[in-house]
Amino acid sequence: MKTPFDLLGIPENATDEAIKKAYLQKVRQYPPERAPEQFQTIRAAFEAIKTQQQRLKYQLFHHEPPSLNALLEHAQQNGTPQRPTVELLTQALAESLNRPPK
Amino acid sequence: MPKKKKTPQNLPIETLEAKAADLLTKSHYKEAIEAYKQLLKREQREEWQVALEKAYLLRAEALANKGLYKEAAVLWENRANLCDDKKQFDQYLHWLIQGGRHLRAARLLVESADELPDELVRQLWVHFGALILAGNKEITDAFPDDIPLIKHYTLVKAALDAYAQFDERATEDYLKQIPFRSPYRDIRTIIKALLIIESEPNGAHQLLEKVPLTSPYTHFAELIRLAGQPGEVQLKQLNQLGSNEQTLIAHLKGWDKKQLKVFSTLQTAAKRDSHKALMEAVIAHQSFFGETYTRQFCLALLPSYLPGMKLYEKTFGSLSAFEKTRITALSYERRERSHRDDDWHLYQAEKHWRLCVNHIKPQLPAKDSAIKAALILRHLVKLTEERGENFDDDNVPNDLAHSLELDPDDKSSYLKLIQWYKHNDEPKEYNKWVDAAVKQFPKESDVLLIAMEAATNKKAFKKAAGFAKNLLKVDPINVKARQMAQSSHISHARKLIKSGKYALAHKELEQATLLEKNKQRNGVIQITQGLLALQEQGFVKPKTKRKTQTTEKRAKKIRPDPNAIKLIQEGIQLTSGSIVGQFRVIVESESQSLDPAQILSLLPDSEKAPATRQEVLELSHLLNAYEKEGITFLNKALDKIKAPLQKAFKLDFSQDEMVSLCECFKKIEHNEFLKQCAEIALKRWPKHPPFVFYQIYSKSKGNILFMPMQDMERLKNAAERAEQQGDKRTSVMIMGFLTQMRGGLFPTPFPFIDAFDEDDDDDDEFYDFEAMEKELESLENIDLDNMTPAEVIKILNRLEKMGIEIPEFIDLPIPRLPRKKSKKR
Repeated sequence: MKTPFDLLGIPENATDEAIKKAYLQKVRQYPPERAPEQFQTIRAAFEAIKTQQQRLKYQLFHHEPPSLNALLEHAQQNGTPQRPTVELLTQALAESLNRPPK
Repeated sequence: MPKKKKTPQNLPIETLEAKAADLLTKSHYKEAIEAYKQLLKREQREEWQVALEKAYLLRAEALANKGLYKEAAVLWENRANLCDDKKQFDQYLHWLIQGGRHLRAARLLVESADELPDELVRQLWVHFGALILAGNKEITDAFPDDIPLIKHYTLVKAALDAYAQFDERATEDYLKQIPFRSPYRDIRTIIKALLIIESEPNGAHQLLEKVPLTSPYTHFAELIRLAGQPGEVQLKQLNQLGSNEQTLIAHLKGWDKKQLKVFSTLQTAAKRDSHKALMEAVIAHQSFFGETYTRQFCLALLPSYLPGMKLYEKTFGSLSAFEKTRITALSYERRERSHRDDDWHLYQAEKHWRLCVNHIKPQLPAKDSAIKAALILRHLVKLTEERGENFDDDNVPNDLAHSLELDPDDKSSYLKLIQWYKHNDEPKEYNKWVDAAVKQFPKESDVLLIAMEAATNKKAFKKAAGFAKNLLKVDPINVKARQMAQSSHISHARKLIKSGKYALAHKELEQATLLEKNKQRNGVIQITQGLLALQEQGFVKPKTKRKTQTTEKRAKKIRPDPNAIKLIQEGIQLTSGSIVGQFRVIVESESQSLDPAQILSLLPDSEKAPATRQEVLELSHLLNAYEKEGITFLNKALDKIKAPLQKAFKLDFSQDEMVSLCECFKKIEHNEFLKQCAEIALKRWPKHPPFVFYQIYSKSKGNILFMPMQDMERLKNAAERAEQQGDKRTSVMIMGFLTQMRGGLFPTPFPFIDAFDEDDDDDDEFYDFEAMEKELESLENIDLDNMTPAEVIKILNRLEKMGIEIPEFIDLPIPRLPRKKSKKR
């Protein structure tokens, strides 16, 4: 699970203004009419940390353990995609053919 | 001699045959095959031969369903040795391919292609195409060179080479040469998707969706789709992939070797499935994740993995005492959530949160520290609220008050405090916090509404009107505020009239008129204005002011101001009926200490006409409203319209209307009307629980001491019936009435009442319940109403000896006997 700071793409010491700016930017990216689920997530993240008091509250009482997937997500910061070789493609195809059919 | 073991070899033929058939029916194919083999060894019968073939085929299918394709193919071959037919040959070919016997499958296909359906051959070609592409080139030897499978392979291979060398145009050219009905149609779609996966991920996704689920390329298409989708690949998905598949994803996503190494560690940690493994994994790759991220991640992990604190401190240095205590508190809270029945964790959590506040204290008054401490104190209140014990816990008001000292800018804490003191009936503290809340939040509508109510309760009507005015500025359409503002002005006007400040009273009533909306006019302002005019004129005087002979004479000479009479009449017309209007005049006159009879005599239409059903219901609403305003003489005022009202009770009210009438009379403690209504209702709806209760309640004047013992049984039955009918309100009402007994008067005869007070074991120390029970038994057949006063006093004395006292305010229906140093009992 990502923290509200991660979701809004801001550091933990961001100011109220910076948080609001990041939130509005994200809303433009995920408007409620087009991406309602993402919008809800972003809205909830903003509500959780929009004031200094709420940020303190989050820091004091948040106790959901971060998951392995959160770590994996963090580790998956994409680099430059590479084109696979023919060999790799055929090897991957061979592996996928070995999996039981659907 | 040892008993000979029964084996298929020594079983009689009939038994073995039956057993074989049974095994086949029960899908025990392996054993069925053995049994039929035995039977065939003894005698060659055609039906056994057929059954054996069937058993082989069914077992082959069962194995294939388990993914054991090699074994399935062998069984099919065994069966084929027994008979000439090629039943399920297509299945067999698939099993051969899945089992890795590609060459045999290819040869068989070439041999029998003419005998097989075209669609099956086409499907098999697709399979062989995929196998050839996956590196099984030996298969090509089994096929002639001129079939599409071999001819198109060169094109696909060339397209893949061109793609790998970033030659998009050549790739597209080769792909175009592959016909639509080629065995390589699906891989052609996949290569097309690969070409646009970076520039048009959605387009690529749509192309990949075209690969059918029955295609051998379906997993491969899914793999490419996974690489192309935005967002992160989940660990679960990654775990399902082989190493080459993972490498392909890494290429397409742009992950480097370091990342792949991290994923591998995380996959191992996932297998161990523990917080410890997770913490160790992230610390092991600290250089990859960065120090800040790793620290934050581990810190967030600590409440669910407290032993990790040691490793954390070893890696990142010591935690402050505050942080350690905070993490411990959170850890207990987490455990409490999974062990709801165990208070110990919650107690520990609370203890540690309080320790946190102590740790912060030396840093005060630094702003963040103060807010942190306040937040912790509020969090403690929240924990109590979650348990539903907030109104029983004395720590709640203290914590809230303390939190407001540290951070006064929290409205909800004020509201909670106010609610707490209201619930616990502590008016002094309640008013103190209402004032503090208004001071801190002078423009918040919910605070102003509470302030208005508090001022009205204190009869500080001017203050209440001020709050209402402010509230209407903030929220001009707030109906409740408007009503309260109006009623505050009227109440303040009454006060001013009483003290003879008529001019000021006029102003207050004008203010009230301004707040009045046409639809909501109820006549009270007009009636008050009329009464004020009559007093101003000197026609009527408050009863409290002593009348001298001269003033009497002067009053008699004065004719009542026709405008005043007109105003009162207008007020009556605005009410919904004459009886309601009259009652308003009575109450308003009494409020101003005037004689209502004198006022009513001035009105031409004040004859006592019987009230209608609607009027009675309106009257009950008015009574409820007056009761809310805190008017205490409603009971007496109601007696002045007794005759028309009593006639009206017999009108055709519905059951619900009758219940609301009874409730209204109970509320204003008019037991005579309550009894009449309840008895009329009981004639129409005998044994209806609420009416039974209202009748008994009114008969005993709301005091259980005066309830005849035979009514106890009726009440008990009524409570049970209410419970059965789902009428919780009545059952609670009856229980509430009966719990008067728990005040030390009687032990309750109803076990369910004890549920209210399970923890109150201390009662046993003060009351001899056994003696009380005996006493109660002796009183069972006594009719208090039919006893002589002396007898009642005797019983009362007996009760008193047992520690049962009758409060002084109870008006006993018996003359009191003179007693030495007596207290009214």
